[in-house]
Amino acid sequence: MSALIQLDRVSVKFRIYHNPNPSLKDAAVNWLTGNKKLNDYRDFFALHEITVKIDPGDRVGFIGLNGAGKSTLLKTISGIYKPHQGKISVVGRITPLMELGAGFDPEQSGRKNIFLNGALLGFSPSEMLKKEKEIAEFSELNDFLDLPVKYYSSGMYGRLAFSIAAMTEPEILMIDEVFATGDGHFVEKSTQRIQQMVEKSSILIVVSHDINQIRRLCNRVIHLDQGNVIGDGEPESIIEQYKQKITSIK
Amino acid sequence: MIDSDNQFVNNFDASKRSGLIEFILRNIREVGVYRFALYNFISTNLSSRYRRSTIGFLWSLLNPMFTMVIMAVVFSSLYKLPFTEFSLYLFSGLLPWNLITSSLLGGSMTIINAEGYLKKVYIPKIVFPLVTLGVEIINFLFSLVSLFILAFFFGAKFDWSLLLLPFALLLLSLFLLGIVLSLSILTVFFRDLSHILQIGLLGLFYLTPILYPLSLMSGKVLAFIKLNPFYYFITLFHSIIYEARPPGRVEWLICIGLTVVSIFIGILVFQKKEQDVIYRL
Repeated sequence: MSALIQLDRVSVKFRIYHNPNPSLKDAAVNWLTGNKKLNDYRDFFALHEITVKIDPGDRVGFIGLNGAGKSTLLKTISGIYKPHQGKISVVGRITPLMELGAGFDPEQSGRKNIFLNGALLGFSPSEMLKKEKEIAEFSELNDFLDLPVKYYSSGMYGRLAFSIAAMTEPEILMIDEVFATGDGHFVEKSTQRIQQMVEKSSILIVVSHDINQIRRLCNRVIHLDQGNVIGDGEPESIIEQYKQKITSIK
Repeated sequence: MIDSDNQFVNNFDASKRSGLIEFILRNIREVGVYRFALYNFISTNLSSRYRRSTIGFLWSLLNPMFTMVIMAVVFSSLYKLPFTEFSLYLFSGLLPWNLITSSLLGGSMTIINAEGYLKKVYIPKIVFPLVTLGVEIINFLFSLVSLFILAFFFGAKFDWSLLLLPFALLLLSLFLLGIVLSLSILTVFFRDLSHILQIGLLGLFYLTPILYPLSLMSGKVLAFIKLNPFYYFITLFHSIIYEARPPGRVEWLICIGLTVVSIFIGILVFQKKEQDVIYRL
């Protein structure tokens, strides 16, 4: 199965409202007094006319300063943000190695959360049943799996979350700022696991500030700046451009 | 992420607004893909509601039962009506009313409360109004059991008209779904809507013949009652459970009409604003 990502002049704008907590009362008061100020907002483009095509086999690294739009771009590709302009077309199951544990219910046991989390990724209980054992083994949580997640240490929480995310067959693998949680042993194990997933995936997308990691994983780098693509191509030349950008700020 | 032909795709073109039919079909398909998430949200919601009490979900039977008995004692002596007869009248109206208020109040907050999910993973927004409604309907069914236990206890007569109860419930649920769809989106844009709703529902409660028989009202008040859409749904339940007679054709038609309007508005609001919600959470 070949995955594909195509963005055609995609823009996403965020509105910064003068009044971040809108209410019907304010709306009524504004309407009566003719005061427009509270409804004021300022548009700012988190992504501005991005045109990118990512083919199977591409290992793409997104680099850029904070606020360049890297994470927004990933969320747009995932379908969380719908663009205000432009066209987007993504084919393939996305495995996000980001926002891990987003769907955890702290009151439920670790085991139950495997199924809850799987359902959020679009897996049926029977599919998760097949993966359950593997997830349990990989997380090494043993008896803790039957304990509510709220009693977990943050390391255990991270281990379970990673184990669930890492059991899916990635067509499009998205990694945002690779995290490594848990003890040294688990970090090593998860790093290996990520490597395996990277090899199996059809498309890899990495967001990172770690240039060495980008060099190691990617065969293509895209440089974002204030919502615009300012570089796209061979890793070395784009990384060079990014470094110059950083020094130019200083 | 939209699933068509078992392939995960995310296609979106900002220059084209999807048509109403396309929007409805997409949502039905997406609910199909995320049905396990829907089911999980409902079951964890129910289990955490009753987890901390020793007799668990029995509270959902006992709580409405005791509340209703107290109210029945007070109001039947106030109106000097026979206790058993009045209590059946009261319960058959109060239970659907509880479904109405809890669905609308919960529904108005459902997307706001789901912010943590919506901002982190892709999940169709329509799932959350459905979760709220699903939870409240199941609660209603629990309390319905307690109603029937009481009714049996008071020696109420059962009639075949009771078979119409599922249809009345279905109609009320769809009517509520339409309103919840609108409210869940609108509350994101007007955060004080749920407070206003609370007061509004309190007013509507007294404009619905639940605590009093309709025959006690006349003139202007009666006209206001007839303007209250919930009155017609409560009437369905009154006639099926309390009067033990099938509701008349006009009564059904009014409720069907109201349901069509509410669903239509709900879908329109959802279609128009669904994409913008994420930017205002």
